[in-house]
Amino acid sequence: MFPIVTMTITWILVVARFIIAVQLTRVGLRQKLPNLLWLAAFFYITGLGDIFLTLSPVTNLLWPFFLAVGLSEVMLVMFIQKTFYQDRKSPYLVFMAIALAILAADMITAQFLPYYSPFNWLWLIWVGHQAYKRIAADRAVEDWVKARYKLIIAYSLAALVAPLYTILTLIAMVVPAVAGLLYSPTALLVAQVGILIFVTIGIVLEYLAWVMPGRYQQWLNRNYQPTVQDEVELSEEEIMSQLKARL
Amino acid sequence: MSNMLNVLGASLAKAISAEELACRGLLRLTVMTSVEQLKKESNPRQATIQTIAYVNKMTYQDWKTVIESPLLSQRLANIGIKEPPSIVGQLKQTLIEQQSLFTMAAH
Repeated sequence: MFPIVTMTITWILVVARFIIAVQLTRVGLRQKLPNLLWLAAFFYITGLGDIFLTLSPVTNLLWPFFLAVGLSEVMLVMFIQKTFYQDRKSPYLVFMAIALAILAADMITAQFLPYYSPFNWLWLIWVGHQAYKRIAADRAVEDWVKARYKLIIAYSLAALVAPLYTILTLIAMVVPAVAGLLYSPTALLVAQVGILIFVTIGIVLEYLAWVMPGRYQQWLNRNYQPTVQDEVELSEEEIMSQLKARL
Repeated sequence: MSNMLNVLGASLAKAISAEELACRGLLRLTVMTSVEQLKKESNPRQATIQTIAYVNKMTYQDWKTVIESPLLSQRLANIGIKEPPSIVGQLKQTLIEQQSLFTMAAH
């Protein structure tokens, strides 16, 4: 029963990832936002990885899933860099080095589970929070836009659960007591269920953030009062004379 | 309405102690005179409508080009600003700090 439930949930999450990826691709191309294509690549790769994970009992192929986990870290670094750090000093090279190291580790040494990195999610939480603080009180920015910042921070927090398990497994390599606890059948089951729950929560939040159904967007914006008056009212002469008179 | 136009308009208004509506108008005029396809429209009202439609699709690079163009500095000088480069610098800083808005407001 349990394997069937987890497999069903995983397939639903795969479909959700591809829906998000397609939406990001469409919006990225339409609005000329190449950073969204990096994020779309993240969702395509993780979706493909999940397919291989789900089919691995039959195919005995787990390395594509490990490759997907590692590659998705690289995609995430590029998305964060291109979204928040144009013409700014950036710690991008540090995070890229970590992502590439994780990718190498996943391909070379990972056996039963890939290594999940917390660093990109922590970076996204930090930089997203900094950017959100700048517009949180700005009445010129619509509420649904502000909500998207918060959703991104929320799903990044949910995404930290899998890396937390990676950290515990690394500790278990050197601390036998931790290994004894971590690799007990109960603990393994709790870990699997816990990771699945938080991955599901994360994907739901990612769906709301990036697909953002129209009704949900309208609901988020329900209290928003535009501060903008009709721009078309002012002619060039009126604009220039208003500004000259002011100054 | 473009979130970035609102944010830059507010930044300009704060920098030169002027009304946000007029500052957005100034930025809009600068865009209109910077873009070839918009300059061709002879009807002022239609030109404004087309400019607003164009502004809603502007990217980070598009805004950077407009802010750095001599046209904006010239317009600022025309309204009596003594140090246009300083104001342009503040607008650039706002654009850099708020660049994620292009992504977050995309739909």
